[in-house]
Amino acid sequence: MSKKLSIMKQLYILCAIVLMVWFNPVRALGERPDVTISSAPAWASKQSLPALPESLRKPLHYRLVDRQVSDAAGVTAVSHNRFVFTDAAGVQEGSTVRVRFNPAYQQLVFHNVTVWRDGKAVYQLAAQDIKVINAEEDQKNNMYLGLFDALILLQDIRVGDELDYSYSLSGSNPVLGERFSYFDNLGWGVAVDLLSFKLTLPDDKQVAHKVFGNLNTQVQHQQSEGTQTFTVKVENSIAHTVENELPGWFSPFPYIQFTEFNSWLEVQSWAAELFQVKTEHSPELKAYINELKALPKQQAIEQAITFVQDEIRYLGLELGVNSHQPNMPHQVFEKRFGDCKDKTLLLNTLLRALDVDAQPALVSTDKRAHISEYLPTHSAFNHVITHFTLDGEAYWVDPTINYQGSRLSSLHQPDYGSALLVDSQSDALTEVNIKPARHGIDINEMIVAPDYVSPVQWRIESQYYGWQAERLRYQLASSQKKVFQEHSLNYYAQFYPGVQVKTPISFSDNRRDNVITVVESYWVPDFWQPGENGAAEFYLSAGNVSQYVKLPQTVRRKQPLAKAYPLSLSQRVTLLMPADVDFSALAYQKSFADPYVQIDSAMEYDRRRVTFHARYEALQEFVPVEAVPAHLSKIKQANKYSGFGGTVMEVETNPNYTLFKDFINQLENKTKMKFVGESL
Amino acid sequence: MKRLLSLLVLICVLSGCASTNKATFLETSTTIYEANKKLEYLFKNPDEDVLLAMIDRHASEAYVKNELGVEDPKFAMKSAYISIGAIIGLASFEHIVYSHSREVGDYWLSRYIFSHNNGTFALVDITLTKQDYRLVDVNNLSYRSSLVHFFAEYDQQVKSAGHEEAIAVVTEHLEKKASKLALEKYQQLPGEVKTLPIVHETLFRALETCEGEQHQLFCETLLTDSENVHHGLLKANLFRSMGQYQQALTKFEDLPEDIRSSPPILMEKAMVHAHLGHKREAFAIALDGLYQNAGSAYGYLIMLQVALITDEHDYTVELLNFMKETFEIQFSEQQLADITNSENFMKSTQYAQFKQVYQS
Repeated sequence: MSKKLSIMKQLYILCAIVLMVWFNPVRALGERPDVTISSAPAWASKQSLPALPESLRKPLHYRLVDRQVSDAAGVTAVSHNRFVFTDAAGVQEGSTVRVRFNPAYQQLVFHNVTVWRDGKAVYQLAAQDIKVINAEEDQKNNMYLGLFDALILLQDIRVGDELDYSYSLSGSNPVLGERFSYFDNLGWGVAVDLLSFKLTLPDDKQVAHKVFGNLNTQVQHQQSEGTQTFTVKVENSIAHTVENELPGWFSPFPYIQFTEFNSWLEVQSWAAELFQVKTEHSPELKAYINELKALPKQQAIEQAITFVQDEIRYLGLELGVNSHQPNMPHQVFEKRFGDCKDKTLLLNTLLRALDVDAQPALVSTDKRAHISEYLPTHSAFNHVITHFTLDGEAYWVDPTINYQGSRLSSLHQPDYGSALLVDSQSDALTEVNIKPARHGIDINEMIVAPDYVSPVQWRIESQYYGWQAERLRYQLASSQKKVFQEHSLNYYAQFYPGVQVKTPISFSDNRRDNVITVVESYWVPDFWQPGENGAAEFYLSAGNVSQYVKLPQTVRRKQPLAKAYPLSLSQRVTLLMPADVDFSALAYQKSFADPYVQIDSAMEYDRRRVTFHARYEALQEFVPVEAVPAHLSKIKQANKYSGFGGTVMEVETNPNYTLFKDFINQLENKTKMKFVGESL
Repeated sequence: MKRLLSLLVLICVLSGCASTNKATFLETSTTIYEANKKLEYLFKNPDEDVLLAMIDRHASEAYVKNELGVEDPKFAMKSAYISIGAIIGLASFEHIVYSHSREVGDYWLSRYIFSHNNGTFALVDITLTKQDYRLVDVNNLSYRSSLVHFFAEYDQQVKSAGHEEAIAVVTEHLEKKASKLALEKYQQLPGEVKTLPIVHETLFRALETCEGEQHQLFCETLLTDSENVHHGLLKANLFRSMGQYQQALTKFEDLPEDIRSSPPILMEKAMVHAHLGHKREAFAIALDGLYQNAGSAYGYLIMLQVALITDEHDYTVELLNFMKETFEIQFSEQQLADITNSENFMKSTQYAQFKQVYQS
C-alpha cells in the first residue's frame, strides 16, 4: 500500500536524488526511457530453488528473493524473484510486475519473466509487453521526481501458477567517485523460503560491512581469481512486522551496509570538493551582497536567510530539463530556483560575504542522530543544510524550509540529530544542538450562553508557535482564507453539526517572533442538549489536545512508538453560563506524566464561568518498546479527562429558560432584522 | 479616619471581561470563590467596621513594597484608606453586573462591573491578598494606574518635586468647570511638568466634562500633550463625549482584548457606531454585550442605548416594557430624559402613546 508522502518528505527525496546526481540526464522530460530484454550478466550466479513446503502461504508464497550486486563496471544489481499465486487475492496483488527506476542515472534491463503452470512455461516476456509510465505521485504539487515504472501486465494468471522474473538495474554516478557504498535489505514484510544476497567486487577493494537488525546469519566472505564476494543466505526468512507510528530512523527490516570509506574524514573530503564555488559572482549577485553588507550584521544575516528560503524556489519541474551539474551561486541567484545543495551553496556564499563562517552540513532527515550507527559513507545523507556560528552561538539553518520566523532567535531549527560538517576536517559527526524553543499551539475559547436554548457564541483564539507557525504560514500561502474557513467549519461541525460562521476567520502574523494568531467566531445552535427531567447538558472538549491522548492503532508492540515531537499544546475552554450554577464541587486537577509525555487536565468554576483546561507536551520523540505498555496505560488514564461535561437541572422551570430567546423573537418580529445565526 | 473613609473616588468606568491567565496552567482552588464572597458582603454592608476589617497594615506595607519598591508605613496605611474610599464609592452602584477573580502572584485580582439603571458603569480590578483576603488596591480601568500607584507617583513626582500647588490650581478650576481658566493656568506650567504622565492623569481625574466648546478645548489640549501615554479607557471615552467618534473607535481598538470585549465597552462602541450611522454594526455589537448579560437588565440597557441613538422608537418601547416586566426596572420621565440621546424618543408619537401605560 503506498502512502501519500508529505510535501516535506517529497522535498527530501528530491533533494537526495539531486544530491547524488551530477550528470546530464539520459533523456529530456517527456521522453519515455527504453527498457530492453537481454540475458543476465555472466557474473550473476543461478540460485537453486528450495523445495516447496506442503503448506503454502497466502496470498503469495515467495520461494526466492535473490539480489546480486557487482561493482565491476559501475554498480549493477540483478534481482531475481519467484513466487506462487496461492489464492485469488494473490492473483490480484501479484499479476503486475512493476519495477521503478530513475532513467536520469539508471538503466533497466529485463532478463526473464516466465509464468509456470504444472511444470510448463505458459508465458514468457516479449518486448511489446513492457509498458513504461511516469510514476509521479503528486503532480498537483509540482513534485516531479523523475521516476518511471516499467509495468508488465500478466494475463490469464490462475491460482497455482508460479511467476519467475529477473531484471537488472545498472547506473553509476560519477559524482560518487570510485568509492563503493551500498545498502540492501536482508528481510521483508513477507516470508521467503530463501532470501539471498551476493556482492561481487574486485579483490583489491577494501570494503567494510555491517549488519543491522536482529538477524542470526553470517556474512560469508570469499576471494578468488581477482574478485571477492560477500554472501548472505537466509533460509525461511520470516515476515518482518511493520507496526504503525514508527520513528523515522527505525527500520523494521534487517539490512546490510557496505562501504569503502575508512573514515568520516574521507567522506568530508569527498563532499568538500562538491561544494566549492568555482566561478566568479555575477554583477547582480555582487550588488545584492553589497546591499546586505550595508545593513547591520544580524539584520543582513536574517535577510539573507529569508531571501534564500522564500525567494529561491525549490527545484520542481525543472529536474528533468536542467543539467544536474552543480549550480553556482550566481546561477541560482539569477534563475531564482535550486535544490537543497544549490540553496545551501548560495546561502553560505552570502553569509561568508558577511564574514560569517558558514559551511554545508550533511544530514539525514530519517535517521537523524542514528547515522552515527553507520560505517562512514556518503550514502548516509539525504539532505544538506547550512551551519554557521555567530557570537559564539551555533546555528543550523535549513534553506529549503519556507516561511520561517524572520528573526534569527525565532527561527525554528529542525533537530536533525547529527551532521557531517563538510569543511570541518574533524573526522567525526557533529551533534546538532538545537536551542530550546516553543513549538505548539495555545488555544483559548470562550462560549457565551445567554440562556439554555438559544445559540451560543463561540470565539476561538489560537496562537501558533515555532514549526507550528511555519507550517500554518505555508498553508496560508498556498490556500485562500475562504478555504481555510471552510476546513475549520467542517472540523467544528463534527462536534456541533449546526455551527455557523459569525465573523470571518482572521489571521495575524508576527513573523519576527514567529507567532501566528488566528481568531474565529461562530454561532452554535445545538450546544445545549436536552437531558432528563427538564435538564440541559453541555460538553466542553479539548479536541486539539485529545487527538494526541489516544492509543495507537497497534497497541501490543514489538517496535518503538513515535511521538509527534517537539510539541506543546494547551487548550482552555470557558463557558459563560446564563446564570450562577455552582459547579465548584466538581472542580479537579489531574496530571499524567512519564519520561515521554506530560498531560494535564483541570476544571474550575467561578461565578458563571466553567473553565476546562487541557495541556499536552511531548518530552521525547519516541517511546522505547519496553516502555510502551506503561506509557499506553498512562495515555488511557489521561484520555478519560479529555473533556468536561455538565448538566444543569430543571432549567425548564427557570425563569431565564427562554427569556433571551423570547426577547429576540419579539424584536425580530417587530423589526424584521435577524439578530442571531446568519445575522446582522 | 472617618474623613478618609468618606473620601469618594469617582469612577468613570470602562470595562472588559476578565481574561483567564494564559501563562500558567489552571490551578483549581475553592478559595477563588471566597475572594468574591468577601467583597460582595462588603458591597452589601459597607459600614465602617466591615471596611476596616478588610484592610491590614502589614498587607498594605508588603504590597507597596512589592509593587512600588516603597518602604513607607505611613504611605501604606494611606493607600489602604484610599482603597476603602473607592469601595464605598463602588458600593453605591445599583447592580453588580459581572465579577471574576483570577490569581496573580500572591494576590487575587477581582474584576467587577458595576452599573446604574441608566447605563453608567464602573469597571474595576480590586486587589486582595491571597492570605486572609485583605484589600490592598483598587484599579479603575478608566485610568492609567491603580489608586496606590497613582498616589505613590503623585507623592514622588508632584508633591516631593514641589509642583503640587501649581497643579492644584488647575484641578480646582476643572472641578468648578472653569475650563478656560484651567487652560490658562495649565499653559503656564513648566514644560517638563506638562510632559509628566502623572500630571496628565491628575488632571484627567479632575475633569468634570468635555462637552461644550470651552471644555472641549482643554480636553483636546490635554489629549494632545498626552498622546503617547496610554490612559486606559479614558481617552476613548473623552473622544466619545466630544463627538469625535472615529478617534474614539480607534482608541477602543487599542485596548487589551479582555477589556475591549467586555459588556460596558461593547456598549460604548455600539453607541459610537450608532452615532456614526452604522446601525447594523451598532446592533451587532450591542447583541454581543447582551449575550454576555442576558440574565440581567444590563445587557438590555445596551440595546436601549443603541435604540435611542438610532431613533428606533418601536425598539425602545419594547425594551422599556421588557425591562419593566422582567426586571422591574422602570424609569421616571425625568430619568428617561436624563438618558443620553433620548430627546427624539421623548418627542415621538410612540412615546406619546406609550407613556401613560408605562408610567402607570
